[in-house]
Amino acid sequence: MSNFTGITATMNPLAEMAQFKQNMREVAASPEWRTSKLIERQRWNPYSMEGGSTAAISGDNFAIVASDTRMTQNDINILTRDAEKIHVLNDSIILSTSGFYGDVIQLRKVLQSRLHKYRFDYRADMSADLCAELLSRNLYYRRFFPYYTGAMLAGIDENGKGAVFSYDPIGCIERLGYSASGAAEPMIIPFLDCQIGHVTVAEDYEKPPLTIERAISLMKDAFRGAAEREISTGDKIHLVIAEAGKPIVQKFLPLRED
Amino acid sequence: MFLTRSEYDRGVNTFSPEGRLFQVEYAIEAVKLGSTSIGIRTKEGVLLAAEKRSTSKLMVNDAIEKISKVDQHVAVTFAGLIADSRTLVERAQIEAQNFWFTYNRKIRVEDVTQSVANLALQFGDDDVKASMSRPFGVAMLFAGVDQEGAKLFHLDPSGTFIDCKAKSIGAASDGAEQNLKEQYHDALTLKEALKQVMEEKLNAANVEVVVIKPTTDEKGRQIGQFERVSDAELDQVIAAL
Amino acid sequence: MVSTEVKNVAAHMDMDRGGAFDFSNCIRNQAMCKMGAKAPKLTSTGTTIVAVSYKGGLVMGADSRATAGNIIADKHCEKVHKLTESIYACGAGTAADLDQVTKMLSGNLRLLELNTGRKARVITALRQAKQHLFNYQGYIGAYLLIGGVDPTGPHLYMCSANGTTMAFPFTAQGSGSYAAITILERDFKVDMTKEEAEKLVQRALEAGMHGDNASGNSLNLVIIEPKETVFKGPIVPEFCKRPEPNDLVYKFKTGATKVLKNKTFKYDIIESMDISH
Repeated sequence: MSNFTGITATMNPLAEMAQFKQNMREVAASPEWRTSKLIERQRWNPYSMEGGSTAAISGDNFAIVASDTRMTQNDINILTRDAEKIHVLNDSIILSTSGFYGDVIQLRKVLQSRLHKYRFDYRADMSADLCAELLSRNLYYRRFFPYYTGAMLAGIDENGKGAVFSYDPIGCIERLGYSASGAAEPMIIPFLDCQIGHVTVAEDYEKPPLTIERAISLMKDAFRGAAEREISTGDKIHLVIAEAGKPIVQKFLPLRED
Repeated sequence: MFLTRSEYDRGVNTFSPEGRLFQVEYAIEAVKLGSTSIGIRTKEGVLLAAEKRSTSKLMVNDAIEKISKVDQHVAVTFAGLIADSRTLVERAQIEAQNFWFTYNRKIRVEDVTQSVANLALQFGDDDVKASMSRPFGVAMLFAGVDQEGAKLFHLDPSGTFIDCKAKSIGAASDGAEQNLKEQYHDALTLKEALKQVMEEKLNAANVEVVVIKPTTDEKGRQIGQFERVSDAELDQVIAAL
Repeated sequence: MVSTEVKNVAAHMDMDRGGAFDFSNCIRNQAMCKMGAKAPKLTSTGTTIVAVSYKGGLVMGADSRATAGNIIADKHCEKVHKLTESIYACGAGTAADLDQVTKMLSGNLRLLELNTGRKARVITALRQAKQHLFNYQGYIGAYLLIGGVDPTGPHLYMCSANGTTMAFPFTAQGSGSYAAITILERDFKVDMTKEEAEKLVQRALEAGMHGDNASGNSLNLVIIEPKETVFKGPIVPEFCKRPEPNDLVYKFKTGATKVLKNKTFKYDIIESMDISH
């Protein structure tokens, strides 16, 4: 009976039986598979999810973005082991995405064209701060047919500080110290919470400072751990490092392929 | 110029054989018919002052607005065909709001000037793309404070805009500008600038003054604050002359 | 009284009731859903299982990954189940169902062997499995490859959860079967040697583990011949190993956990007991 928790025990048993009989009559008259309800359920779904995970860490003068490179169909079938989920938009802006890859491509194109036009209109490269707001606006613009993406924007802000902005699919923007998105998000976030946010350790416990080297190592380990237990994460780590005053560096590291 | 007047001065999109667009040049002339406006950039902010010319005793002087607010941090004054300026001011206001809406940031003074300059040249006698059939007959002074500091831009009917330390437009601009050249120095304060624009015969009724002072926004970035100088303050300055 | 009334209504239903199948419970279940009951959720589990027969024997194998949604629940689960000394079953589907069905089969087959004094036949295991699964109309989510060697030779059968069975010279099952089948279709030959068959099964399994998210970690093989049965595993293919170790060491020193409250309990020892033995 534990399956049928929806039935309220407070109902009068006789009334309940009468109601059940009534339901039987109604269902028999028009079974679900003949009604529009079922037809609706079989309608084409414009979205799909291609799996994989991304994460970003910001530090005092750097930002690190990482993702795996696996693209998956229906959670099971591997489409490619070389998917690009991190997009370097200019010298200081990095977009990293998870979710529906079709929307990811479109979103990247929209941002790229806006950045291109900005260069002409305002005679300068857009800063990460401005791009963060622009992305939020672009996502909310599609409030009722959203881009199905878990986007993150990272880079070096106008003050030379590392920045990570995290979004929901309809443009709620949040500036964070670190963030993750995608299939392994529930695994990576607690790891970063513990190692960077130190939310689980006592106040007087010695906390290592977040250097760029430590952040890179944590990022690698986060994905190595995720690849152990999350089926749609694997193949390669795509690591993008932005440090104030230096060009953006991109690296690929191996992950398990099963 | 008037000597070479010919059929070339009628079409707005036809150069004269000497390479001139007469309609645009005439539009620049129209500016010189307008009442005078002055802009001065100082370390403490930017100041705009405009003469309010009342042509009749029966005119309500308060109804004239010669300095408009574009945004919290940008003001604009103009000389020439005042009606034309309304279109341009509205464009500036829209552009400023658009930028703020898209980027959650106040637009730079130069960029708002640029966008109005783009509009200034969108004239022509084909009515497909053009919004105006003739050039606008106004010059404008954009004043404001953005991340980069106090800014003053002069825009003329040809769409040219120039970064200025101090500038005067309108009927008495030549004299005023001469004055500014003599008096301007980099350490000028707002109070001194205000004194400078207030010459004899002025009173609170026939002059309008706006200052944009630097301040910081909620994120600590530098931005300007639009402030109209009140009649009482003006009277004080005039009395002190 | 109540039931007759319901039955009368049900009789009016315009449904195909010809043949062996009765779908009248569909109506009842929908009425129950209308009353607020939640339909049980179906689980699909991913796997790659492969079996190939060769001259005089049979090789079967499986990966060792068990998934719950997109999470790997078990990295080293055993999907090759022993039914008798020379009959094995590889399972795909719901893990609990597979465990119970194979346990039941091995018990029954052992009893049969004891009663008859002979080795059980593969077809017997298959028949028992299909009759049991058919009884449950597919609700027992066990998809089995049953294979082995008996006095009539090597046999390989597939039994799906609804009771359908087929015989094969080689086959694969589970979510990784598409990748595995490609290898089998290309390289299977009749009357291979033991070594060839073993290599083929391993390569097919590796293809499944590589190309399918829900398969991986390691593989197990069983080689069944009339004389002896050899179990091999777990074998970890190169791509299932971590290419690099972790950068950092995640050991917390004492004092990492916040102490929220301190309370001391004092006990009086009334009687002591020797628990050293």
